[in-house]
Amino acid sequence: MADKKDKKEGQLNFQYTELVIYGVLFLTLVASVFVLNITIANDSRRDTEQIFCATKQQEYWQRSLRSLLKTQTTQAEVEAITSDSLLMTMPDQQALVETKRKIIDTVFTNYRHTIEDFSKTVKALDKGDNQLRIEGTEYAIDAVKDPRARVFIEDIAQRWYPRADTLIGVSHQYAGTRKLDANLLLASIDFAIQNDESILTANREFIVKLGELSTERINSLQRIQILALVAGIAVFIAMAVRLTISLRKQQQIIAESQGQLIQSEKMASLGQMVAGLAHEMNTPLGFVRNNVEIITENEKEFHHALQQSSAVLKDLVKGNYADVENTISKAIEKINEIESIGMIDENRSMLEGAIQGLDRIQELIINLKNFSRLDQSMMQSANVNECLDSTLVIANHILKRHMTVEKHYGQVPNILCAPSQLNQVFLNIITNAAHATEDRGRGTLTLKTSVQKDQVVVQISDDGPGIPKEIINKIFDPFFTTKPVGKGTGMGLSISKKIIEEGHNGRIDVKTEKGKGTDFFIYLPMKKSEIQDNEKVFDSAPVFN
Amino acid sequence: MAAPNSNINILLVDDEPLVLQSLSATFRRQYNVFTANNGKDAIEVVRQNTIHVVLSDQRMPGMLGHEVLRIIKTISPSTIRILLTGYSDLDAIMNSVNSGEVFRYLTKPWKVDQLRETVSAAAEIAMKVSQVYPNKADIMRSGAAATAEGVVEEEVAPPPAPTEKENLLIVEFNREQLNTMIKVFEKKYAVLPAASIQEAFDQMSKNQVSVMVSDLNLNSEDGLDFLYAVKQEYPNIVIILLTQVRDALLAIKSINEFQVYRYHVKPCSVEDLDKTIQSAMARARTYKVQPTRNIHAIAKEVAPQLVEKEATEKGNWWREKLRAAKRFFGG
Repeated sequence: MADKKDKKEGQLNFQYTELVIYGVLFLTLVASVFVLNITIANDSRRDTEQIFCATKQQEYWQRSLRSLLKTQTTQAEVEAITSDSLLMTMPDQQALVETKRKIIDTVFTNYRHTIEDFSKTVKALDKGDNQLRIEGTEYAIDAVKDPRARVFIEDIAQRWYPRADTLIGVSHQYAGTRKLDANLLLASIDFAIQNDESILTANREFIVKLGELSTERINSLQRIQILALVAGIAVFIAMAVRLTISLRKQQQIIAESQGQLIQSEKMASLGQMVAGLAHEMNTPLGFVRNNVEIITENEKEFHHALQQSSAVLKDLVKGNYADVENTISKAIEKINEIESIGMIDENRSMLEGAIQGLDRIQELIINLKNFSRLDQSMMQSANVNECLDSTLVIANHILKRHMTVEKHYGQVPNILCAPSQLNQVFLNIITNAAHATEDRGRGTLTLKTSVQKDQVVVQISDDGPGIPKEIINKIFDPFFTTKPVGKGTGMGLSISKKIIEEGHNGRIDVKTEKGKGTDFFIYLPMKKSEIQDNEKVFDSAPVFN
Repeated sequence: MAAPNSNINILLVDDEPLVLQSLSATFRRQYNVFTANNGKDAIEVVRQNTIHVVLSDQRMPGMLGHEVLRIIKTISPSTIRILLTGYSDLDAIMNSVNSGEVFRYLTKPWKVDQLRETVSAAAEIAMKVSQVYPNKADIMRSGAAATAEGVVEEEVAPPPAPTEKENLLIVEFNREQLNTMIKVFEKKYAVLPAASIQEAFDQMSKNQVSVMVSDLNLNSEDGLDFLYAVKQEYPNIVIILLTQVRDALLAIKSINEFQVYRYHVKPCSVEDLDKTIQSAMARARTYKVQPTRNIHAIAKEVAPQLVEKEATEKGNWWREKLRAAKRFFGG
């Protein structure tokens, strides 16, 4: 039993562990999806910034190139004017040159800014820059790491880095001197024009690549999210299934233990019955045996007397008178002895006693049969008065000592019932009554039967101390008992209620008054023993040949 | 046929008239038979007559058999008491082992030979004992206040306790438990510990043991045999059983074979056991000054066949060993 309990507890522990595992799994899934989402959101932000940076880079490049070209053409115009000395003399021309030079100033300043910005963006995308200023706003740009996108950044960088000094240098030089080194400018323009296509292409490709990568990432995120959702559902279903199974199991365990208790209650009432029967049989068995032994002893004396008498008769018949005097006196002595002790009367009364005892044993056996009705079908027509009587015989050993039984049986018709079950109910209530009055040492058990409308009413009353108000509502609950551990299962009345209400469509009621006693009322509906509709003569349709 | 011995009065108590009829027929040729069909009547009969042997049923309406016998003991200590019990009464017996100092417990259904033998042994003992209580009237008068319902146990006062400690033999194979018991009782009594049967024999041979507390489960040896042997050789030792098994049949056997004084189930409270030991000591002193109070010892003399019948081979073997130990130590 203890072993079983341990096992059950083990199972329960295991179930809790399992539940915890499911919970952790579920939470991990949700958390990982969140983490993934956040990472991907971060990635997207980084990408956006990088794309922004790349777009700006493209813009700067184009503006630089334009500025450079404009500078060159303006420079060429200036040179054309200045080389024409005629024109130079004219004040208009001077003014024109000055205007042109001013244009170069602004354009080249522009160039200087844009080329520097371009250089910064190239570096930022290649190596990362936490405080890249673009049009007055500061951005944190991460270096491009994805090799598929980096290819393009590196391409730009490789083209740019070796010539950066030249291209930026030319602008600085001009800013300081206002003189353009024609060679340097030419080299710069040369580089710019040569690489314009490649840089723009690489830049475009980079932006497209980033877009592709982002789409890819979003796709994979969606996939992961769907997977996580599916996994979450799977875990949930597994949890639900396991929980249902364990609930079912628990229900089964509860049902089983209830079944066991009902069985043990049955065994207990059987045990009570057997104990009662053993005691009731022991007494007649004791004196019947004793009587038979006494009869056997007496029979020896009778035999002796008979032998002596027949010896006398034989002597008389044979005419052997000499011996007769001797044998006659012996025989008379023997017969006198038998008569003086009253052996014949004793034998008769011993025989009568023995027969009475045997009758009583026979009665007990019939009662046992009536009580258990093991050899009869469950529902049958029976009389509750008879049921009460056979229960009283079984309960005699617990009542005999201190209870007086009063019977007020009414004329009740036979009802359709399960007599063995009713007997169990009656025995239960009678036993409780006997126990309730045990302490006082005397008590009265009153049994009343009557007919009310269409019901047979059985009233079993005792004059014990009554049932306390606090527990009157609990007495029909399973496992409720006031008896010490091991003395009662606490199932007796709950099973009785079940038998009456579910088995017989009846009702069981209790009325109690403190110090006065307790009355149990059992209402059983009267039903005629009907012939069942599906009754058949043969179990299958007979076939005649 | 045995000559009618009308000097001996026996009382049969049973609530079943047919049982009384049957038992009367069994005994009426040898004894004067009185009958009563309840405890109250039985007590009344004992009050008004000198009853040598009473044979009572255990389960009766009103007073139970062992209660009746306990009351009869106080009214007429010389009456030898026999209880007839059914198997379903065993529980009630366990709760009051030998409270009425019952001579024998007989179980139903009984055998006539056995019943006759027991009653005749009881009668012989009673004849011998009754010489010690010649003046039953005195006891009657002193116990006149005692009603059927509320008789206080009114023993003839045992001799007062001597100034020196009395010997208490404790037989227990579990050393730990033995040590615990020694600690508990060594202040009050001269405790003689024995962790084996041999040690117990030695202690008994060397010292005059008054009371003995013993387990029944003695390292696979049958405690019953051992205790039977002890009681045979030292009838004045009062035996208290301290055992884990709560077994009514065992209790009955212990009473029939070696007149166990009390049956305690382990674990029991120190107070209870001490109380029992104290009253057992008083009983031992009584045996010393009034040997006739020791029914078992008398039974050994007047009806040895009845006592010997209970013996087993092993019991006799122990008895031999005990005798040898006694000779060896010159006990």
